[in-house]
Amino acid sequence: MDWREMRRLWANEVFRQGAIDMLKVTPGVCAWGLVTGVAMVKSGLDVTSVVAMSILVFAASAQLAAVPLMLAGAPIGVVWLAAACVNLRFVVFSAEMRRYMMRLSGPRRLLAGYLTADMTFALMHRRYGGVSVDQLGREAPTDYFVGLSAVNWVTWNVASLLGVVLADRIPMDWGLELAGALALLGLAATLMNDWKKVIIGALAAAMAMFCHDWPYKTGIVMALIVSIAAGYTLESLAGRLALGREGEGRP
Amino acid sequence: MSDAWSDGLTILGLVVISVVTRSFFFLSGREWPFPEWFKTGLKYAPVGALCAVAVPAVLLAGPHVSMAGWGPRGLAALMALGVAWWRKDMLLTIVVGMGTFHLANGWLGG
Repeated sequence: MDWREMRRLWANEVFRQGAIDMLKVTPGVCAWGLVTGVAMVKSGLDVTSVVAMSILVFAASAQLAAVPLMLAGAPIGVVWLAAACVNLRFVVFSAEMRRYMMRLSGPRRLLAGYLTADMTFALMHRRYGGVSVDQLGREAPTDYFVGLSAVNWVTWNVASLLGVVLADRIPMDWGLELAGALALLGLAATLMNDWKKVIIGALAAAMAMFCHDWPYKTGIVMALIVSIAAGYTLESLAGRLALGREGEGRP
Repeated sequence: MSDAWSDGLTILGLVVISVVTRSFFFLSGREWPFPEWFKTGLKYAPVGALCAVAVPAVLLAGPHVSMAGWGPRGLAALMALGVAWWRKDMLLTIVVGMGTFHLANGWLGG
């Protein structure tokens, strides 16, 4: 990304909208970042590794899964496998993100992968999930993505590093974790624009509660698979019901 | 596994894993032959994933992962859901959610 492209982005409405939309969920992002920073330092990992991980890995849940294993002296393959498990939900997300990202070159798609977080994906889906391929061609979903990611990357890292620095002064009973979780839940609520999504949300939550003690967040992957299968089932049922009603209406 | 070199190697591997998992289906230019049910159901992945991540994180919060004293957190979750759905404002959602949590904690003697 060169200087000219940065200026083009700065003048770009879609990019700015992305930045603004991410700023609106920033309190949640900051809370997660702080919690992650504090937790990483308190685990006993040396500060250089903590900082390197925050900035380079940029994946809170994978970091938090990897750190205790590293400290326990687990084989390197086990650490990697655990992180891969925790990140499995992003593999599913990338199936949707493909629609938005294929216009980029290979190296930039890698960069986009590095920058994709839960919040980023949810906001991309909220804006472009229901948009047709033609419409996507006219809009610039990648500009929006850069706007989201620029704000998310900066705020998350600043919060995470603040957590590292202030680890001893931030009491964990502030409920910071709760604040971060409530922000994610609020984002979920804004995606519930029809009754099917409400049902799927409740189902996924119940499934995740049931599987919450599965290792390395595999319960979340299970809930995700159930959501996709149940979503398909609901769509077919709704389609059949609508068809039935249409049939009844005919003379 | 505690010296700087192996920590460095571990972190490097974590970077590769986190990038590859998150760009998995758009890394290669070739089309993926997704089955029809997956394409239809994929619309529900975001709402499912967010609820699956957030709801246990809210209800099982705290130093000991347990359902003990989940009442105030459950109430906070319901208020957050309602406010977010109604106003679509995340800051307000967090403020109302946290406020509910602390008030309920006080009343319920948590």
